[in-house]
Amino acid sequence: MDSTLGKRLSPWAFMLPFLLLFVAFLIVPMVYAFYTSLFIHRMGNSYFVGFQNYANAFQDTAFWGSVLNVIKYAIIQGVIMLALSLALALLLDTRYAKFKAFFRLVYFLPYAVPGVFASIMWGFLYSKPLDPLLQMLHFDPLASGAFLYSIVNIATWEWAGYNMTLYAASLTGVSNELYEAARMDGCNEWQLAWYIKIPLLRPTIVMTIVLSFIGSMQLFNEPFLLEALTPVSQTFAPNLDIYNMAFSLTNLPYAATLSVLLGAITIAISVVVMMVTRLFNRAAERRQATALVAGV
Amino acid sequence: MYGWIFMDGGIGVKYRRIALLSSIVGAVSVTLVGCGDASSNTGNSGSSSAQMEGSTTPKTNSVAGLSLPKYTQKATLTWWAWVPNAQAEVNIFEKYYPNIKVKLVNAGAGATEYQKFSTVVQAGSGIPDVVMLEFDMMPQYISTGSLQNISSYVGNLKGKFSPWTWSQVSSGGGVYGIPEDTGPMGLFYQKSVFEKYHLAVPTTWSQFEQEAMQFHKKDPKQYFSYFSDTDGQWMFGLLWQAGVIPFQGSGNNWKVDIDTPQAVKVFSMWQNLVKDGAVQNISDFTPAWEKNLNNGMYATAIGSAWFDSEALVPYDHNLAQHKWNAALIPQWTPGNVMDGDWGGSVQAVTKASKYPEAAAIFAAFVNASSAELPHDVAPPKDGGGGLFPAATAGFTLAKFKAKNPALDNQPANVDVFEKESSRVNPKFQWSPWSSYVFNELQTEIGNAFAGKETVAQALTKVQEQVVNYARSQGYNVST
Repeated sequence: MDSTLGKRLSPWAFMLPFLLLFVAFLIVPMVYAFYTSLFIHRMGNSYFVGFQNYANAFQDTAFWGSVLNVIKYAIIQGVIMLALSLALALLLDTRYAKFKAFFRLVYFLPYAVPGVFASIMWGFLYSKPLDPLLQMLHFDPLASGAFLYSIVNIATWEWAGYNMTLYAASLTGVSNELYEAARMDGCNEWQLAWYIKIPLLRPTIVMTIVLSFIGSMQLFNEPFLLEALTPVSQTFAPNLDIYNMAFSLTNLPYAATLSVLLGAITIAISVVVMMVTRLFNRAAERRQATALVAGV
Repeated sequence: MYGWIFMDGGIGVKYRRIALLSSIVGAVSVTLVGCGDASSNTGNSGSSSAQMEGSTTPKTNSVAGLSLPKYTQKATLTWWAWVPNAQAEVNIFEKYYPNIKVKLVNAGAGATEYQKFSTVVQAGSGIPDVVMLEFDMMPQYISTGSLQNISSYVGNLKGKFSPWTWSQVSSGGGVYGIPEDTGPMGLFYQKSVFEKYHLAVPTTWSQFEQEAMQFHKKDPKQYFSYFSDTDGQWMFGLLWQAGVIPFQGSGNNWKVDIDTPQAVKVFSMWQNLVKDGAVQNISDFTPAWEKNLNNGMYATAIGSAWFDSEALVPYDHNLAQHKWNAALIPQWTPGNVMDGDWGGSVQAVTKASKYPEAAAIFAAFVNASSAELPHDVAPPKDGGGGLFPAATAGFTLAKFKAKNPALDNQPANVDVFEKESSRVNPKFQWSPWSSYVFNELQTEIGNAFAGKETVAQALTKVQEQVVNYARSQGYNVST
């Protein structure tokens, strides 16, 4: 009797440290944010308004514009960065790559620079009056048209090495015999990458897509810091809008409303991405299975 | 302390609402510092609540030229401020009031401090007794109930201050702070450039516009001036000077009128000059701006009374060569002379203060007493506050009237800013949504200058957004 109870409790005991933190720093704040979003503050008093803040938020075109803007950013940045990460990881994984450890470190290094300092540094590099090269090219990376892409560049510089490391780590787990067998069958490095390494990386790729997407939805540091150098709309990214609502305007209820909405959107899109990739995976597995059957 | 990233000259951040990166580094440490202040403030919480009820019949006495309530109980105040050499103000005060101890905390300048202040107000602990706020933040903190009406203690001091400043700290019959300093706007120009190109100091904006175009043709490498596209406070200063009254009201009832023909006229002129290349569209207090300033690229700058000590001295390292001078701001309607204000602060008493009377006395004493004013107006490098005082008694001091070495030895306070101070339009009011309004204006004017919309469309959008936002917060808004 005792032992079965112990067995039943032991997983919970192991999970307890995580659960406590998860509840204290995620679930409770989420519930509190939702509760806060049902009020407005005026003249030092709170007034219960039900879902009025949500009704306002659904008509807040600036907020929805900012959501679309970060989705656009997430797609552009995600595709460029992950393609680059994958290319670097595969290059470093070939037989011909020299000084692998050194280059892995070099590509990873930007990730070790805190995002705030990276943004400040890039801010200086982007400052046209300080940069003779930009003056020669007549190009201002901080102009409103180029701004989104300038941030894509910062984020790619910062995170490509990190994602490359994830891919590289997954690749080291692959048994060498598989590659040897493939080479015996006449695979060149290109075919090795395309037919063996990339399919093996698929779960890692899906994970990086989802993580990169969630990260992009939280876009904040870069536009917030570059604001000092160029006019950045407060509704460039939802988090800027929320931060500004909460700390400049001290409108916590509406900031909470937008936070709840942003959280819901992020979760919804993440779930969709995961479901779509799962469907693709299943289709691919089925194809492999039929191929196998046909081969036999 | 935070100012090192994009700029040096620490106090340069003083009047900056968005103090560049300082706000970011500050923001990162918001929670940490907030906690620190909370623990350091426990000294005055709950120590003695009986003492504050002492003076039921306010008797006043005259202290250093000010009629202030008698206060003999003990009190401990926490004061958040970023004025240069603020500790010296405290030291002078404590000589006159040995029973009131003041603990000075530098919680950052401008936006950095406001974020911390909002945080402690929300948290309900660690709230200072006296807090430094810029004029444009007063209605927001009054409307959120963060400040305390101190008119029963210091309401009699109204006549000691430039009249427009008193209306900035008053709302619906209450007084919520003591004006500290102001920034009546003026035109700064490089005498060296004006002599070289035989330019006359413009007295009207149409003259300014013409000279700008001609100057740029003569020397396409230089700009006649710059337009600060990330500075909502400065843009509203331009509107204030043009006689625009965007907000009127108090409490729950407000009238919003931003998209007036006069406002369209103001920004259209700047848009034309930027399009023509005569004026550069640039964020002030950035490295790029600093570089251009050092190279003498701007023949003029639209600044205000503190602009020399807070902008030119810290950022222009070739002052002797450029020979900056100040002049009266150009006028829109010559018959209707008017000025606006850019910057300037208030020492406000918080609602959470346990010693509101002591706090009110302190705020009044440091800003208007004859013991403090000579310190307040002295340049920061001489240990002073470097302030253009809101208390008019300051205008009579020798240090106030002195020749200004930063401005080619021009006694600019007397020549220009004392006059401008009396011309500041007293009808101008800030709203409880200043941060929101600044963001909207910066964004839309940015779009207009980029050619995405006309100035009139931009201002209409700002108007609509602000009205919608205010209504969503339950304010009664008329247009």
